Amino acid sequence: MRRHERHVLEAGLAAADSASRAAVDGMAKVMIEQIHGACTELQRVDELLGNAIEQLMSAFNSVSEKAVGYQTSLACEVRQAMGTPDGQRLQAVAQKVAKDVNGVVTGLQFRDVVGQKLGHVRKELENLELVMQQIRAVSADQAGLTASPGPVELAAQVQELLQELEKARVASPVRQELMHAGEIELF
Amino acid sequence: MKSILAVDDSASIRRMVSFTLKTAGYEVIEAVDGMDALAKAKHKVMDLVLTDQNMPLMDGLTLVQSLRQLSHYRTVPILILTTESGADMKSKGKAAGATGWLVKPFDPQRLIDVVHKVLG
Repeated sequence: MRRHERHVLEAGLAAADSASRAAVDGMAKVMIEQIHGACTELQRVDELLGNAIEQLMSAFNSVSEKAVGYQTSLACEVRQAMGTPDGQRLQAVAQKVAKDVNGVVTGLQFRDVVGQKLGHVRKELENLELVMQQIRAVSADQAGLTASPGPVELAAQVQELLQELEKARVASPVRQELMHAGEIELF
Repeated sequence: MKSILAVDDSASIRRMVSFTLKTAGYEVIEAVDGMDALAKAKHKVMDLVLTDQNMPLMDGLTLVQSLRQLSHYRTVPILILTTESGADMKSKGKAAGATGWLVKPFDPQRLIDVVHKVLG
């Protein structure tokens, strides 16, 4: 290869390296911004949920004593009217009230379950952001202080960081997909 | 009246547990984390401990291990009530000395049935 051709090739490769690094850096920068936005939204959802449950808890506190009193007097009426058509009707009412109270108690645990799920998602996003920052660091030309990686080397480094991210993934501790009561296991 | 120590850093869960078990005729003492629970358990011997797993200062598994080291708590039933449902965590709970594992959200009637059962 003649000197001139070799010089053109080296210049071309250097330009390609620079374009690759800029593309990876730009992509990582956009992703970091997106992750920041998602984390902020999740934080807001968490706060809204907290406020909503606080209000529901306040309402529950003011009616729960009355609900228990009503259930107790209903149980008395059911015992007294046992064997009569009225007894059957009251029994059905008592069962409905008990089912509704149980439903409220189960539903009010929503905050805790969803809060843990949100916390898990936020942690995953934070890990992703950390990897994106590392990708930016390896792709950036550090003003000649370190050797800039070529496209192949850069791709290998990015691949390595993504594998680290995959290894760092932790399964969500919350598996429930619906607000049904969870399982019970006695050892 | 049998006493139950309800341990959870979530005020709403403590309220739900307390409401459910008081309605069923139990005395319920609340604790906000493992450290608080350990102090209250030393002050008064409870008939049953119902604890969350993920809490600040001291988690549920550490609380179970700490309680099992106290002579008064070697045979006291300890139930873990948590959002975690993985088999590995349950195994750790069993190894630590827990009596059972309940996954949130709990159904009030089923919780009462389990408490009745473990308290004999």
